[in-house]
Amino acid sequence: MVRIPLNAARSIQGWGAKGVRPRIVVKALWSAHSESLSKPTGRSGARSNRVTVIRSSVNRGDMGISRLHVEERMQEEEEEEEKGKKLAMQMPLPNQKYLNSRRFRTPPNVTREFIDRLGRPHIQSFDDMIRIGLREAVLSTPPVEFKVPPNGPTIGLHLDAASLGYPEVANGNVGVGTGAVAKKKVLPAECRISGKTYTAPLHVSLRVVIDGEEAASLTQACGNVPVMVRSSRCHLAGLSPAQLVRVGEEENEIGGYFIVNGHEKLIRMLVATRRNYPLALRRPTWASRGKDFSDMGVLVRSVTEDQSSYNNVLHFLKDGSAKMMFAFRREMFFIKVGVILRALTSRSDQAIHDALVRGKPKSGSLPFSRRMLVMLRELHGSQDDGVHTQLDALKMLGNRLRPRVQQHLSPDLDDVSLARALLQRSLLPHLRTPELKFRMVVLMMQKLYALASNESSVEDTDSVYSWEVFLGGDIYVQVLKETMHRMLRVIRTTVLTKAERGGGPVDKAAVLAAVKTRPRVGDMMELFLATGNAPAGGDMLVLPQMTGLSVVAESISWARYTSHFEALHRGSFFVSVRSTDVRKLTPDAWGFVCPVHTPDGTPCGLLNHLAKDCVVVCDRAPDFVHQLRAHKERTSSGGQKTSSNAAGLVISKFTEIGFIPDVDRDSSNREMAGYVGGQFPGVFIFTGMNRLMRKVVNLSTMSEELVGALEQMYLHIACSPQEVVPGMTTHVEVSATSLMSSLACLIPLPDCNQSPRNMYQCQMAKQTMGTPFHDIRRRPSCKLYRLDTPNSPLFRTRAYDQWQMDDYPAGTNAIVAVIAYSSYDMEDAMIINKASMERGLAHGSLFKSELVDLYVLAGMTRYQGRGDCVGLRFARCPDLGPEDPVTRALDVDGLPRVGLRLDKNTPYFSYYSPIGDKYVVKLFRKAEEAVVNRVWILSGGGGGAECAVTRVRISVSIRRRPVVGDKFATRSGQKGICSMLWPTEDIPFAESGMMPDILFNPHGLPSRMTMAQMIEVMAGKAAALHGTALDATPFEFDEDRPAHEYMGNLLAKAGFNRMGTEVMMCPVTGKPFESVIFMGVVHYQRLRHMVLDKWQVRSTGPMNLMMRQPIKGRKRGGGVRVGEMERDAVLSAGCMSLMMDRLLDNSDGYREFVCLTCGTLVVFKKGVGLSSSSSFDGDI
Amino acid sequence: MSTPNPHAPVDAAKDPMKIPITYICGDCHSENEIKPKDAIRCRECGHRILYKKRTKRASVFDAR
Repeated sequence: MVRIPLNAARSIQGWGAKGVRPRIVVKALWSAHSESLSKPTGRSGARSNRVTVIRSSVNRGDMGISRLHVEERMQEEEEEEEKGKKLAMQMPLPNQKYLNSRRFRTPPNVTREFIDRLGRPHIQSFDDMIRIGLREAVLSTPPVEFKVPPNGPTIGLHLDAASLGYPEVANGNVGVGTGAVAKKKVLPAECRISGKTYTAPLHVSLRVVIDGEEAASLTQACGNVPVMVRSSRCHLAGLSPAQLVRVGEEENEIGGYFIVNGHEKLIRMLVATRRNYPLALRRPTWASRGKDFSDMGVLVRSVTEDQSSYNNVLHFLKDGSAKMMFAFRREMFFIKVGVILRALTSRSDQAIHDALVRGKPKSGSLPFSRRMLVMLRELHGSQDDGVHTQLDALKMLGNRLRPRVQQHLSPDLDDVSLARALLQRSLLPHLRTPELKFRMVVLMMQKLYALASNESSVEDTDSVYSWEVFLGGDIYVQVLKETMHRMLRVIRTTVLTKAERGGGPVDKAAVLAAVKTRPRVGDMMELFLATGNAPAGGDMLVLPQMTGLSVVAESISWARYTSHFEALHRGSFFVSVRSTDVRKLTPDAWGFVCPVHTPDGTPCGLLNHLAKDCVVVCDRAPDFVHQLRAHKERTSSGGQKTSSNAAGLVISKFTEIGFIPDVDRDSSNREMAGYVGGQFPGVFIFTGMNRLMRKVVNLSTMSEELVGALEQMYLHIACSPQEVVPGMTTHVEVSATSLMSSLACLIPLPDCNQSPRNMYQCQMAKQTMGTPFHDIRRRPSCKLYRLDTPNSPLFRTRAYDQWQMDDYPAGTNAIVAVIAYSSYDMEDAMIINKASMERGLAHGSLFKSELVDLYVLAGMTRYQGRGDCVGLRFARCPDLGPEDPVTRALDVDGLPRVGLRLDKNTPYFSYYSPIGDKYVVKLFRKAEEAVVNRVWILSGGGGGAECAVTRVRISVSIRRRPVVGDKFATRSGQKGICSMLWPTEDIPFAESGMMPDILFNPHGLPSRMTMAQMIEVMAGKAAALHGTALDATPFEFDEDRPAHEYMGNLLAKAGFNRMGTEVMMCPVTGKPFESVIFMGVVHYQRLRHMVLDKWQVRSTGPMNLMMRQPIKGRKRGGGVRVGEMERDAVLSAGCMSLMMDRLLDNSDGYREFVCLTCGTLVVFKKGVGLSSSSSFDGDI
Repeated sequence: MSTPNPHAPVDAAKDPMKIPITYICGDCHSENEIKPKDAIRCRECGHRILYKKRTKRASVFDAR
């Protein structure tokens, strides 16, 4: 585990990471309202020939702006300018105004920025899928063509279009009550309560071609596919918090997830390699790809419009040549790059050579030029079988590859068309024309040979600059494409099977009949989201991993829930990788990936979280490239001479679009500039989707700007306005905490803690009991924890106020005395004042709900008919007297009375079963006392004619007062178990009479070095005394102005000791303690690990049949198992008798007979004397 | 047990199939009498989720 501690990370702002030295400072800015781009201008000074800035009147980093939003953007810009002016001022200091304001009580009319930011990438990607991705996926799905044997027709099934509807009830099921209102819309809350999937109908346009003639064209319903909450297909899209509350949803609905069988499922963000960008890499495995292969190569992850990706690698061979790898249906081909170049263009050899060496200074290009000449000359070989023209190359490619690809392509293709089709689909498929592909291959060649000759450095796929994000919509459309194609394949199988069995002639009617057989695209999509497993064996699927794609968005606490939306996973493949390289935090992750918020243990460094000012750009901006090219043409025709000796290439989303002229460069200059050994030079403009960008402030315009991860390495970004170096610094952070995720931003004074403590706090915040939701009564998660008596913290960061975390409080302010008072607070244990607990300190509730479907109870699945179950319904037996326990617990409808206390074996519900014509009563089986909180009567059980109540959801609440064994933690990663509820009369008290709620053992502090907690003790006290909340934002205090001094002064002002100590009285003697006690107010979190869920005790019980050991598991009544190591530990303490007594005599002791002669176990039957020992003579 | 129970069967001989139970609509909060053969749907607004009413029986059992 290598994480940079927060304090250390802060000091490495020297940027320009050492391995990759900055050479060309790239700054591509784009303004929406500039009609044309202004002329590229060089910057003055020593770096002028390396600095290229394309600048317009107002700079904006976000390049994905379409013209349509010009006015809107301009307005935004004005606002942003104001923001820039305000920058000098600080964010408001923490205060408690929000809690007492009207805003706290009324849901706002605009979605909160914090909420919007969390869901945006997920929702945008899904919306893009609906707008464009789905269409592109359909267009790129190859038709299924097959010939019916023996002499039947050739049938082709083509997908033409697909459209997604809205979540609605099917027409037949709307039902009209006396109020005559048909309620068609389905909202997420309904799906959550009734355990349904939030789906919308999918319609596919199919074309059937028989023997080359279009036989039929139809639109087929393909079932209901899950849709994302708050996407454009959701009824909640665009609703304000106030409106959301009105329709019965959570006020701060984030959206971006799916609801499958009532559970919230999120497709989590995965890291992918930056698209369409050639990366110079060294991979040891590449050397074993064939003869002469080296470990060097240039990798391009080419991404097409429907977001499917294909890797191409240009390998460097030890003999100085290169081979291009492309894959077709998971089979890899390695082709000499000369052949590829020849096949892509009809240029002369001279022209190809010139293209390859273009931009290289004459002095340095000689070896490269020679190599290229050799490569081109080799192609010609002998006069007869050489490759001389483009046609020759295509013919040769087609001829060679035909045996391996023939079966998947149309049989009518000749060699040339086959090679063309193959190159189109597998070689850099994001580029549509061979000319563009040619230019890209040339660029890859230049980069590869720059790498091979050490002119440029190796890049790294583990660094954030080479990352982009795989989003929910992208993965969804991949799976949808596969399932739609699978549907076509199923139709083919149906037709062929029918023909084989002699089911009549295969004509239009037969094919259409096969089409109508209910294609289950919707069910497969539901299964995919429910399990997170992509359908196996698909040809269409190009995913980074096939399992673990979706996770449940657990709603244990608001922190846990929100952090799911920020999580960025490296991919399940890397979990099993032995090297720790992939887990390391690289310096270029600054501001993109949070250095604090990652779990410890297996997923450490693989499961990351986005920093708070990092955004995932999801816009498509195709126009930008065209405009840039038009601009280039204008400027070159305007008389500016384009030099053949150019500084770098401009490549964008699609391809290289031009050269930037640079006339004065000679080799000596380049040496000085550090050209050798840096990243491959060029101006790279990324306009594609799914890029990571982050907000910083541009100093020249004083407005916010988005910078990318690659760009950031060449910028000088100051952490605070004080650190700006004139002439060098170009940007300032929006805030000093920009590098941290939202959860890390809530830790008080993280810069005063030892760094792992901050990581622990990020984990524990996610396990805290708090306020998970405001619609907790409508959100029937199977388990919800709520803190009944939460407080607003007195010592908190500005982010806490900014994000209005008072809406979701998750802790209690407790008076804490740091004292070693009894031996009950050893080893991180803490003592709670019993009276405080009884007054409500840290009280909590646990809500559990259960869906009861009588048909499921009766063993029916959803596809089976009702059969024998007609008449099945919830009902109480009418023959019972009023004092019968069943009558007392249940209503006539067989459901528990709302408000009923459920103990073990209380009647829970009762139903009438037509099988056996009887009333069945089910008892409540849980040991813990619960109260029936809510009973929902759900439709959907009966469905058709029989509409009795057969499906309900019963929610119960369980009180959880703190007991001995429950877990608590402060916000500084200091966790502990409550070891005693100490009687209040035995607790030490201060001179003023103040009694602590919690006694905290001071031995927890020296080794953990959580200064922030000690400061919090003082700060909380000071804040309480002055009636305010104090600022815990990191990087505000430092050595010159220490926090404890500031807090101490506040305490002194209120008449308290400035060290935070107080004289305390011993309750036993009534005398003051000799030592003064450090005492103050700390915000304590109650964690969800409670002893009531975990205790385990048994004497005898179920056993493992073979070993005769107690079985595992609390649920099954298992015991604590004692293995060999445990046995050794007890024996070494000399407790043989204890073992005998506790584990055998009073528990699972078992008598076994041993033969005294041979020492083997004797197996015999009583009375028969059948033995397994040969020497058994009856003496045991 | 002096508290009257409105839901208790008044007449055990009466067919339980005919005793309607009142539920509350999850959306418009109107009261719905659902007979055992009725569809689970609010008569006023067509909402598909109904709530069971809170019992009027005393629920503090220990305080006798």
